[in-house]
Amino acid sequence: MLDARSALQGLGLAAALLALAALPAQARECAAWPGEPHPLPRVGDGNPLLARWAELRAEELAQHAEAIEASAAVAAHRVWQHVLCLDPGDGAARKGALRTQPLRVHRPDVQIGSGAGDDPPDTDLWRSLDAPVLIAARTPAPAGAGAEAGAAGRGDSLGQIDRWLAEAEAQLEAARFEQALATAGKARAGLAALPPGGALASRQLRLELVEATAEAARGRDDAARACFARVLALEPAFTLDASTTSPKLMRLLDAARAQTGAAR
Amino acid sequence: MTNRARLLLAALALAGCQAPPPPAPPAELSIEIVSGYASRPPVPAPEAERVELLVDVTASLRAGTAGAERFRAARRAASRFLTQVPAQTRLGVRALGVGPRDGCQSPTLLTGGRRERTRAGLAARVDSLQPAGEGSLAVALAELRGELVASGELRRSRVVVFTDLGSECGGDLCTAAELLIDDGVRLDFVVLGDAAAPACFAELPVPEPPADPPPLLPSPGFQIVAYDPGPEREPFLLAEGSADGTRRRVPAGPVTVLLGFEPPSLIGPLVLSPGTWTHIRVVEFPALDPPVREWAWSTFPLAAGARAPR
Repeated sequence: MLDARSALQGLGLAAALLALAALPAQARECAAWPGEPHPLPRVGDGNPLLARWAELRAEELAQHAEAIEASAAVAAHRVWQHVLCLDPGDGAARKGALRTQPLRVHRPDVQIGSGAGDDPPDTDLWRSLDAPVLIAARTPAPAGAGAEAGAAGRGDSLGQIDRWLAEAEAQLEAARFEQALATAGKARAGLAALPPGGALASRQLRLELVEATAEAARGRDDAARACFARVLALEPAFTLDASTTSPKLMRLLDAARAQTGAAR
Repeated sequence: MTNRARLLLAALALAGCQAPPPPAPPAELSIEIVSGYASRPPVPAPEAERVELLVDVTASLRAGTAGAERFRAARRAASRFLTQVPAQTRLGVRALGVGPRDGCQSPTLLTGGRRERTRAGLAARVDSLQPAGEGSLAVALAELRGELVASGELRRSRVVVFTDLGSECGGDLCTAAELLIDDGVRLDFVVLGDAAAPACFAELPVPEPPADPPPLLPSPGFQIVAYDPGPEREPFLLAEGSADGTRRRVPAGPVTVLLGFEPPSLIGPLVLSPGTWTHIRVVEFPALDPPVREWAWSTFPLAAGARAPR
């Protein structure tokens, strides 16, 4: 039986997507720039003139942000953020803001191995900062301690996986969808490395919900649907609370259910 | 400028000499303009990237099981990263916590030594770093910023910090990070251990316009003209001003509006009915690719309290 509380924790996050997908964290501080109408209009503004202005202004700034990204990434980030203020649903602007993020925090998994030269290469220099760090173990485990070490190791791993899941959920709440996916990826790798059983299923469910929510927010509906399909494989009767979950997520879950033939 | 606009402008120069038209019942007209940049914003020339590494091996990184302390992970992650930095990229490496044991020390510059001339030599040096002293991460970043400013290499710099975010020597990490970001520097913190990142990290950079944003197109002047009903159809000026949305009283009848954009825009002819208010909305984005200029007008009865819909 799955841990319902853990699953519900994930559902709360799913519900939060309703607001987060439409409103970036920065939108809280969307002030008009010099010369712009105040308060800053948005695409879809009730005034057709201002709505059209917001649409064209977002396009103009997006062109500018793209042009300066290679030479002034931080300035481009600010412009992308402003585009998101004008048009919170602009996926390209969201990608641009992530691409040009001026401050990132990486938390690579530290693994202890037999040698320190075995780090998996990552062709992307900056993404490699998230790759696991392998350091050589200096002290061999005492003889006969294998089983205890195994049990302790599993406990440590579960603790680490829980931290990753909590971090991914926090990132999701902060609308940092790509970071949430990266952190969830670590949790997925951690889960895959453990033998099945124990309390893995509830963690797997949390993981799938985080990924489904983040993928849906990023507009990758197929990936989100695949996550929901895995949720249904774990818990065929799984449902989301329609009163607190975005209609988009509800639709994706229903689509996954129709595909997998899982019972409601 | 179109021939029609040229002719109109030339004719308007003489408009002051034209006799005013016979009195007609009044109408009102207003022009509201929203615009984008007046011209395309400049794009800074690309510069070669510079990467600065700061490897924290202060005492707090001794935490961890024997043989797997955090400083080992920090120096391993740093040495792996620096060997991946492209050879043509300028690279600086500093270590924090390798100085004297007393007090809080500045970071030690590792690049520049004879053994550290090659990336492999530098990586070997980083891999052998041992915690010895203390130092403030915030101060180290502030000092690094000062050095980059002095060498004129702030722009296009990226700073990577390998740390456990220990704060034994204090300092304001948020301010140090914010100053660097304000200068256009991108920051990557590779955090070893469970220390939470400062809450301010999620708020950086502060949402504000880039320095010296290009001005938006100012509201142009406009002229409202009518044409002499005679065979020459000479234009005469009815009203002029700034297109700021102010309602202006003009005689009813056919009019043309000349907006002082470059090139000028002619709107009309419109027929202003007596007792009505005509509101013209213009959207002007000359710096957009392709440029956009659109307008539309609406007419409302001039009843008391009548207002344009927002």
